[in-house]
Amino acid sequence: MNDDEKLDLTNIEIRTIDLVKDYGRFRALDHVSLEVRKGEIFGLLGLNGAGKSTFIKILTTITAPSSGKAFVGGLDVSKHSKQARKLIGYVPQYTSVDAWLTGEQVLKMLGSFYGIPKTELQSRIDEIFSLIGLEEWKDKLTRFYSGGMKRRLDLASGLLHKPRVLILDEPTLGVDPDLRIKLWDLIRDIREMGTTVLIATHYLDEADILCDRVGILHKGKLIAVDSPMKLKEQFGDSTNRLDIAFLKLTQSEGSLADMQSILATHVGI
Amino acid sequence: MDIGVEFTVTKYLSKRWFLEVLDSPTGAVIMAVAQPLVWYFLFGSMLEKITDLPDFPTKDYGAFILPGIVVLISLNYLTMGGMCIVEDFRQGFLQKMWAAPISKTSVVFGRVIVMATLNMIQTAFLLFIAVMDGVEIATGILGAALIVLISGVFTAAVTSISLAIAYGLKYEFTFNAITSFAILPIMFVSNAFVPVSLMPSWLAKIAEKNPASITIDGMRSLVIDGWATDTLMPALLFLSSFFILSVVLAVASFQMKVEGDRVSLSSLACKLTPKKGKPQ
Repeated sequence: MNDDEKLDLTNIEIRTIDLVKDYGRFRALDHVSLEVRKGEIFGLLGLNGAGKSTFIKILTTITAPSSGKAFVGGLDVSKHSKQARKLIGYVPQYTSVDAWLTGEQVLKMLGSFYGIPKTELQSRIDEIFSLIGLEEWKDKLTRFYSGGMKRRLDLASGLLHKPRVLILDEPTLGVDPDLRIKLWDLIRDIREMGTTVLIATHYLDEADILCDRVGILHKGKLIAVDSPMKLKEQFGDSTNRLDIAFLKLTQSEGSLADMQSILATHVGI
Repeated sequence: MDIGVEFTVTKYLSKRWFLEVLDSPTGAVIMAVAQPLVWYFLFGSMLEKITDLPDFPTKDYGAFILPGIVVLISLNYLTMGGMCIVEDFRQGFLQKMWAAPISKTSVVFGRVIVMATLNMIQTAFLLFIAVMDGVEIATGILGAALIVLISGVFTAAVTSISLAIAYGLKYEFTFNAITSFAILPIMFVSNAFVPVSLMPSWLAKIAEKNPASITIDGMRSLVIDGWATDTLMPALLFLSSFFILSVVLAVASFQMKVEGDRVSLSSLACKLTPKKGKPQ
């Protein structure tokens, strides 16, 4: 019996059943069934166009599935979208803080979106600034923040309403290695607070280091779900790298050889 | 829908966009003060002899053109209204709003309120300058207040259309090209500068149906004729319908933008028809 079979179903925070999304004739998601457990960091991997963004759009209620069902915190996101949104913190791919607002004003505005009472909002804002280590910057315009500070504020702003699930779309895209490590630490801290984290990422090393389990989407289909370790054991090679397992799962034999050759030349595998 | 929460959302979004305008004081002053002044005196001086034509409704061209300039200023919001949207979408701010438990209408209203308020400040300033210049508003201070209000509602409708266009487009350049191209034809195929009776008949037929002309008619009656309800009421009724329709279009276009659907007339029609099981 594997881990999944032992799993208590009440411990599932995100569940999709046969999720399909069509844009005209293009099938972006093809019968995707997935479960994400409470309190885990789950990585969603896939090439461009694999369906990661569509999957996130459905979970965050931005778009409706063509068929199938998606549940967050036990709520069907299509039927109870407004209630489901209260359970979800969503941080899009790009930094979305306004240059003409202070950090505190950004959070006050976002707090209003979730109907957080004024009396609670200030203490939550203070907590967030403490979490991201920017207490002294909260009254300053965000245009004076560095790129890393903006990204930290952005990431933590998804926590303002204490969501059960935090969904991060490419949280470390374009950030320097030092900041990446700090963001990973922050994400781990968020998980320690009891929040389930779903991360869509292109970075396989990030998924390997950070995620408890990963799901690989390819051409709209979910082709593998397991811990990075097990995927490497099952599909990797002697280098024990997740990218090799990923390539084996998503590329044809010919192109896999080509990609391995490129990696050997440029990355030194 | 929690009205209190939606009101707070609209308030915060309005504040956000007001601060954006104030972040560029030079731009704000040019828009609020210089633009109405230049247009009023430039167009007023250029065309004032037109009142010598037979059947021209008044000898005071300043009074005639004043509502035209008010509407011309409002039409500029076709560009300004939606200018922020492409950037907001690119930065993920729109998606963040849509993933929050708030109504799309609150988001549209957040922008509309800011643009309408800015326009009403411009209009009040323009009316003050015109009165100082010798224009007599037949309906007095109450009429002037109603002109400011009409201008605000017309601007709100124009801003909503601008948002609908902006949500439907991918590139800021395309948005600027379309909206700045549209303003002048809308203005010149209207009764802003000359009465419809002086236009060629084919052009007059189009001009009479132009929303700008209907709005100008209402304002012009307040400036020249007094409380002429037979002109004013149809204009107010039209304006209310125009505003509601524009907001509905903006909300539908917003939904499609975030969902990533291609905007077309048929998809707009689908969005305007309620369906079971769609996100609220």
